[in-house]
Amino acid sequence: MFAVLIKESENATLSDFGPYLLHWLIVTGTMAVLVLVVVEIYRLATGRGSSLRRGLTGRLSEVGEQDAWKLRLYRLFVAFIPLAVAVALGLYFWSLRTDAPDIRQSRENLALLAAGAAGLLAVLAVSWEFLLDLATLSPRRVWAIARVSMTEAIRRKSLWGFVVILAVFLFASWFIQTDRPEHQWRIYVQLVFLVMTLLLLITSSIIACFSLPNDIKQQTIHTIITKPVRRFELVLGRIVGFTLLMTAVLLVMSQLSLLYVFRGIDESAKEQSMRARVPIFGSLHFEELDSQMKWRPTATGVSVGREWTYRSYIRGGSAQEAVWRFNRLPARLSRSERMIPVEFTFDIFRTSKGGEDYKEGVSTQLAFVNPNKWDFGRYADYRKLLESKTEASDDPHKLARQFGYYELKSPLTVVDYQTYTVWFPSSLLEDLGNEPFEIRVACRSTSQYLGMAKADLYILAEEGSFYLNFMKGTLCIWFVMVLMITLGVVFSTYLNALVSLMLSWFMLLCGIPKLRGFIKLVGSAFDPDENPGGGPMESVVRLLQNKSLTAPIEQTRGIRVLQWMDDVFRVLFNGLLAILPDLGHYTRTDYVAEGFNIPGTELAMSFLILVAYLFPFLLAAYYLLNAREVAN
Amino acid sequence: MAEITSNSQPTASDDIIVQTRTLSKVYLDFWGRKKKQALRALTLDIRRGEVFGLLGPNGSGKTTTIKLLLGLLFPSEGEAWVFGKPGTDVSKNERIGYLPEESYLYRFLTAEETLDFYGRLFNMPADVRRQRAQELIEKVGLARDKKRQLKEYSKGMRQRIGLAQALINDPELIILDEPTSGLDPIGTRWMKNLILELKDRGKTVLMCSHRLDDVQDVCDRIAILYEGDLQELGEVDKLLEIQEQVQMRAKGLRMTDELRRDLESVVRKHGGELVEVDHPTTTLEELFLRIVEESKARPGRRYLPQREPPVVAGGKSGA
Ligand SMILES: Nc1ncnc2c1ncn2[C@@H]1O[C@H](COP(=O)(O)OP(=O)(O)OP(=O)(O)O)[C@@H](O)[C@H]1O
Ligand SMILES: [Mg+2]
Repeated sequence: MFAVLIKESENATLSDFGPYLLHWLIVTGTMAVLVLVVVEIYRLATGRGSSLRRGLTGRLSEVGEQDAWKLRLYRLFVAFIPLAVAVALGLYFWSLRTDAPDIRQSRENLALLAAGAAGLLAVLAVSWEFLLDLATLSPRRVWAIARVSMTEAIRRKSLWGFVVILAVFLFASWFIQTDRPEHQWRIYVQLVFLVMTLLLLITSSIIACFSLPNDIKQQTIHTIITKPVRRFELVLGRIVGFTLLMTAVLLVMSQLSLLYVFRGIDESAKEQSMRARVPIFGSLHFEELDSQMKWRPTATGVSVGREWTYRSYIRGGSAQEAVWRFNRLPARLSRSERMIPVEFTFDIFRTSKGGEDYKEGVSTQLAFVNPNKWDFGRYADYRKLLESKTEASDDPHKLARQFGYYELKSPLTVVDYQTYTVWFPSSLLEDLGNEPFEIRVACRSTSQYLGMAKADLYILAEEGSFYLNFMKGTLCIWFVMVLMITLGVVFSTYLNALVSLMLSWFMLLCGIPKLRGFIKLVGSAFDPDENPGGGPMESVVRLLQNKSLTAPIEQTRGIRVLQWMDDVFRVLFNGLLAILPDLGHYTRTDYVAEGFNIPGTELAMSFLILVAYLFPFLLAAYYLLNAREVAN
Repeated sequence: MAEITSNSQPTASDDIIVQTRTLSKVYLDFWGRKKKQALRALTLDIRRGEVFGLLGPNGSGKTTTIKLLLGLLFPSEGEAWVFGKPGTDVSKNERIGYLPEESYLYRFLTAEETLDFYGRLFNMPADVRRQRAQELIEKVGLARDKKRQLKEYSKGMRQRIGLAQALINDPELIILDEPTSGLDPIGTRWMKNLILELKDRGKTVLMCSHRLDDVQDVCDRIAILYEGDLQELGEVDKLLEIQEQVQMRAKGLRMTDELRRDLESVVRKHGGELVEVDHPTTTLEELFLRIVEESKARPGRRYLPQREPPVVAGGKSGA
């Protein structure tokens, strides 16, 4: 059977698009304002002799009478930025003047919206010339450059080395040793996805980073940009060409990989593992029975002292339960009367170790509750009816309708990291009203602890197509590939090939969720909420003054300046985090390895995030290449 | 927003194809330090329908001038307009054909693919592209080699395909950077005829070359650059005149001192037939060498615009 899907963070779904867009507008808008200010200062300082004068609005100011609206609109954007910022600040300070939390919240939301509007204006102003130029791009020219890029990559045989590596990798199966069929699938899938990703990213980043610098070095670009080609068409053509080429490579590779996995794993592993489960996750909290026999919710269960805090534990034999709530379950679940599968996998923490006990597992009871109907006081009645050898006890639906409750006749014995399936009657979902459906888990074995995380238990809504799921996993690799190709081409508009290559790999590595988490951790040193001792500057003062982290510090002017510097550090650090990609948005391959379906909405959201992330880079490439003397 | 206010505007005239006003270029290194002043305050106009030659020893700034016109470089000072548009305006490129110093083309493409590619860059539909490509391949004499990749081509063949590429859009202005380099005498002859043919069809040609005999054969006007300074500008015929000498060619008489004193009357008196009385010309090579020698002796600008009245009425900025 499977191990479990570790979901440490929520994946973005389409409903997150609004907040994400707002966040994007504010962050990108702030950078845009900085760019506007710097460019204007530069222009004022250097006069007209610089190449940058063609940037931002240099060209707009030369337009004729009939195009004057372009410049006017640009000025409108710029003029309204301070206004929107002022409104946002005003709303924010207004929100501070009330104590009612919900009023404050709504005012803060308004302030955020205004800030978003300011961001939108700033982004529009900075990208105005770019956007106007986008409209004049010719698909035929872009396609011509894309074609030539593909021909180049093929005829220059950059892909050859790649084929060799692929061949080597196909022999790697000689070295894979798995004795247990249940692990075969995961190991094979993880291996092929890793190899595909690495090969693809290495090849595509190399061809992306070397193409434009080569063009410039060998001066082939001279005959091209003296044709009526917009320079950005060069960038776009390269990106499109390499993306198409590498997409074809990826398609071939994914089919080969699938074949390879198919031939590599045993029949039994195939049967067990080649699935694409569509899970419905709920929200997890814990409840305890208090002295008045009332269930009192707590956010987490018991901590058993494990370092990894992903799971929370409930104590065996106590009045402690883990509760999953499912809001708004899809109607199709209960359309026909049937038993609905629920799968779960738990971690066990033992206080009594050794002997037979170890193998036996832990007694676990699962209860399924329709809170609209169920009354805890009727538990004894329910049990009696269930255990009576009557008609009612044989038909789970009947009992479920009557009580709004269903539980396993006898507790299940659960072993570490094994996936179990239990079923509950669909009739339980009738008449839920607006209440969430609940699944409650209790541990019956005393002195054992049962550990669980939100994603450890889910309702299995349906089985998706396995092949489709594998291709969805491939699509995730495709996202990262597009990211790398775009970054490579964008960097190489200004930097030389090797530097672009190193920079794009650096950014990619920083985007790996684990590393990003680490960077965030470092960044939290600047956050006064997380770190009571203040940022690095304040910490130095504390060190010198021999003060502990929490001791109050005298607010002299010097200290205030240092604290202010810490704030600036923090903002810079957050800016850095915003510039680095977050691969967590795109990687879903563990879903495939664990046999879970990748939801289409998540893929759509990944795509939107990718486009939003790449937009500022494309904009930078546009200005950088336009400002560049290609013959120098 | 600070607006760029140009104090000089391109002259609104259909007849001036290329215009530069105090065009200067300083090459800077990465840190913004001056590496080389390649061009200094170049002011010239090129008129519709003429063949204009840029001359100068190696490193005198000919290629730099051309790159500034095409927007491959940005001027450090002054302006350059082609068809009344600055170098960075891509729309002017619709009417320009450019043959670089060396034919920098994709060497992994065949001749046919190359022309097809450049045709696409002009947004030409497929049938027009195909037709133009065939015509040009015939014209530059590469019909037999059109399916070979350019990396197998000889220097002369690359020059030919480079020229075909420059003509793909039937341009009004053709800019040729050393068009005859790498061509054999027959190829040179062919190239010169082609330039003259383009001129006959009303095209404007701007070329630079070291081969002075070529320039003398095809150019209407020339500019001579030395170390980035304009040294001489004018019509080839006029520049090659030697003003202070008179040459006479006579038939049927023996030359004596007496004869020399009273030329015309003596010719008649002796019953000879006057064939030609003219200013003799030097060769361009001599002129070129003399200018280079003089420039070395007295550095700085030699050509002053006053010597030739400004071509354009209304050209605001002088030298
Ligand atoms: N990218 C560059 N960086 C620095 N200096 C340069 C650069 N390109 C050209 N130069 C210098 O500018 C001067 C003019 O060069 P340019 O190429 O315009 O000469 P040219 O007249 O075309 O010479 P040639 O007849 O050899 O082709 C030379 O001294 C050259 O060294
Ligand atoms: Mg040159």
